[in-house]
Amino acid sequence: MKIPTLALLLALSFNVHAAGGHNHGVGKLDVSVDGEQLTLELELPLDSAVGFERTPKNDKERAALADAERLLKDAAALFVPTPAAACTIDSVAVEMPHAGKPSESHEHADIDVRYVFRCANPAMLKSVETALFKHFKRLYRIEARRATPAGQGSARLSAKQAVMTW
Amino acid sequence: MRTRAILRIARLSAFSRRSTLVLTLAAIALATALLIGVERIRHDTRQSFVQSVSGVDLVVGPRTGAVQLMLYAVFRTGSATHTLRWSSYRALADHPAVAWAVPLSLGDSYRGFPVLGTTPDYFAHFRYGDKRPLALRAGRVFERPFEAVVGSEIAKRLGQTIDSRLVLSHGAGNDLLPEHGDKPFTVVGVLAPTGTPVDRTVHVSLESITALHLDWAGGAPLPGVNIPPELATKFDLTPQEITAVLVGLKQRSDAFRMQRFVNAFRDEALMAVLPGVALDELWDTLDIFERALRGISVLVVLVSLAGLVATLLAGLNERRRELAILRSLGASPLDLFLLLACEGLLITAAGAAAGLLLVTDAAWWLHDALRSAFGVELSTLLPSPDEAWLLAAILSTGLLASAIPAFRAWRMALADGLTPRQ
Amino acid sequence: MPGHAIEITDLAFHWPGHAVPCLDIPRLVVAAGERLFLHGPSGSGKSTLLNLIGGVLRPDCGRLRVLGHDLSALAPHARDRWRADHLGFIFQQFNLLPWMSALDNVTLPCTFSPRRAAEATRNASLDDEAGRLLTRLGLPESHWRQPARRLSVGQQQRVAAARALLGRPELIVADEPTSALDAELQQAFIDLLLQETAASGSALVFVSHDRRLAAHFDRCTGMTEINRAAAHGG
Repeated sequence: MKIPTLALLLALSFNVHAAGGHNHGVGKLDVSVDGEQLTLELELPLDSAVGFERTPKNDKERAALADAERLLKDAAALFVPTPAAACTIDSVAVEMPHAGKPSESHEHADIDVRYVFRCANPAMLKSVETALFKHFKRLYRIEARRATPAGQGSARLSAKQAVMTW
Repeated sequence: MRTRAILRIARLSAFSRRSTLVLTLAAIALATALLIGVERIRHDTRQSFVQSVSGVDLVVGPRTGAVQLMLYAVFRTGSATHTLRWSSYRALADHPAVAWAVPLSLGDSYRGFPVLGTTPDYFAHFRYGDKRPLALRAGRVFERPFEAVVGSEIAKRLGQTIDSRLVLSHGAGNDLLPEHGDKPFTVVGVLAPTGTPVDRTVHVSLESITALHLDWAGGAPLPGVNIPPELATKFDLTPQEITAVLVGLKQRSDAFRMQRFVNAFRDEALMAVLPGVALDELWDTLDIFERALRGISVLVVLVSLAGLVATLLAGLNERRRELAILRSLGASPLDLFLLLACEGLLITAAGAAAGLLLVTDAAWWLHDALRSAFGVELSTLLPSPDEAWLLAAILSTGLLASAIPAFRAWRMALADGLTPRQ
Repeated sequence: MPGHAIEITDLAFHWPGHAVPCLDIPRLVVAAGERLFLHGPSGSGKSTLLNLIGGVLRPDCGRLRVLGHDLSALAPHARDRWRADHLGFIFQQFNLLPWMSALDNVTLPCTFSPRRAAEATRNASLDDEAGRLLTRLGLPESHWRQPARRLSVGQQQRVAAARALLGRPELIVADEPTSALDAELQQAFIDLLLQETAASGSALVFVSHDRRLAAHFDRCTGMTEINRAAAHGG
């Protein structure tokens, strides 16, 4: 077991971190719990959200962007923390790409959203379920990471496995 | 009562054929040991890795690889090939989000055990297992250069106690390394056991590491230069560079932001790793390898059970008479089916039990080797729920496999009646 | 026990795949407690008849009543149960589970028949009753706890007889039980068997090819006389 394990560990030492780039259909979600505060930081490729990455060209594309933004603001519809923890949404901050710079053309674009929940019973908080896959069909994976009182961890979420537990 | 009687007959009958069955039993035992062993190593490796990093929010080091950084900063295996500047450490430690930052300097060793240069803060902030702090079994934390605090295993194995003297080697590994013979260390503290790589580490101050290397260059002593220890302490011993930093944050939720901050650090190329996340990602990547290993062990178990089926089937012809006698006494074909099934189950159970014993024994023997090589603590205790599940799977597969000879016995009973055709 | 131990009327049986019937018995009656010597050469259908009486095989047609029961009316598992309760078998040889002690072999029927267990333990413990039978059949107590395979053939047959008698089954079927014994032991064994079946009130059907052994039986008949299929030349 020794040799293969070490060899793999070393081979991987370059790969594990290389998962940092932009990848169509793959979102990122950072989950952290501090006291009664649950913070979700979502990075969603624009392509996964609306089906295009460029600056909107017509009313239809502008409407799609607006729809996506409205949907992403609805934290309660997209994320369900452990019900027993009694978490309620405190704030949502959506950062759409292209906002204020309509002429600039990006190669890749992401929507960044920061959700803050307050939990009345944070000790019971053991999971977060997401409905993102139901709403954004082009999204097929979320690389999720967590930092909670129970420790850190990562998980690969998908439509089939849309819950992160710890 | 009838089932118990059948079980008893099965037991006696199997025992009477023990010389042929013992090989089958041994095969099942070895296969079980392999399956459980693989599972246990997998589980315990994860467990001891996770146990070693509790309480650290970020590990920061030069930009190499996440796993490489983890290996040397947390598990003290592998080698630190790059360093980061002391100024970067200061910048990190002074960051408003950072609660504490403990510098680590690795590279020297003592009789194969890693030497860690750090600050007394290490003992205050390091956590292992379920967020437990380090405890001194004897003595105190180092205060001056050339004082050392040794882990429990070093103390035990090399008989180190307070006031013992250590001569460190430059580099990690064998006995042929150049030694820092001119600057011996004195043990001032012995740590209580933790079951983590800490047990195998010699802890000294960062200043000691700098002082050791004042008259060294490029991994060897400078010829003709010899700065005695008394004099060495007169130099400015603030390190120029270190190998890694353990960081604790004021707010856990800053971990991701802090990681981005470090990864984009302007002065030099640094990287920050969330240890728990990195381990999870590592397990995720090792998953295929583990599955392959598990798949092979499952196959070996199946092969051993196929052996069981073959042995029982081969023995059945010689036992036609036995089955006919039982039949004349009122045993139904179903009873004979149960008899064979019980026998298969008994052998499987005995084999599985022997395998479990074997793996527990092996764990006991391999314990030290695995700990030295990887810092992995093997549990030598009772089977975990996962293992219990595996054992149950082996037993039910054994029972299922025994249905083949059992069915054969059932058919035989119907065909032979009271007078077997011999 | 009302009626007969065995009552056969117009019984026919043939093995699957064989055109010629193996058994064709117009009439055979064995009275309760009667000791019948049934002789016949090999191939005359003796074993098949015993399997039918034991309820392991079912006749194609005709009437077979054993101890007043129509066996073919019973489900297979009920016939197994019935056999355990009412019949004792002694075979030619290798009657015992070789890895069990003589005593355990004798008490084996009780694991399959609570009725015989109850009958055997009416006056004593099961082991005592088994011991009593072994003593009467002349197996010294020093041999009781030995594995059956260590006993001589004659001793093994005595153990088998004790097992068949335990719990007083109404019918004992012995299939060539003496053919593996020396000549002088044969008669002694038969005498013991007759004596013990008389004591327990069981009927006995004793099958053998050797007519010289028939002397002390109530009745002697031949397979060729009762089985038309054998008489025709099988």
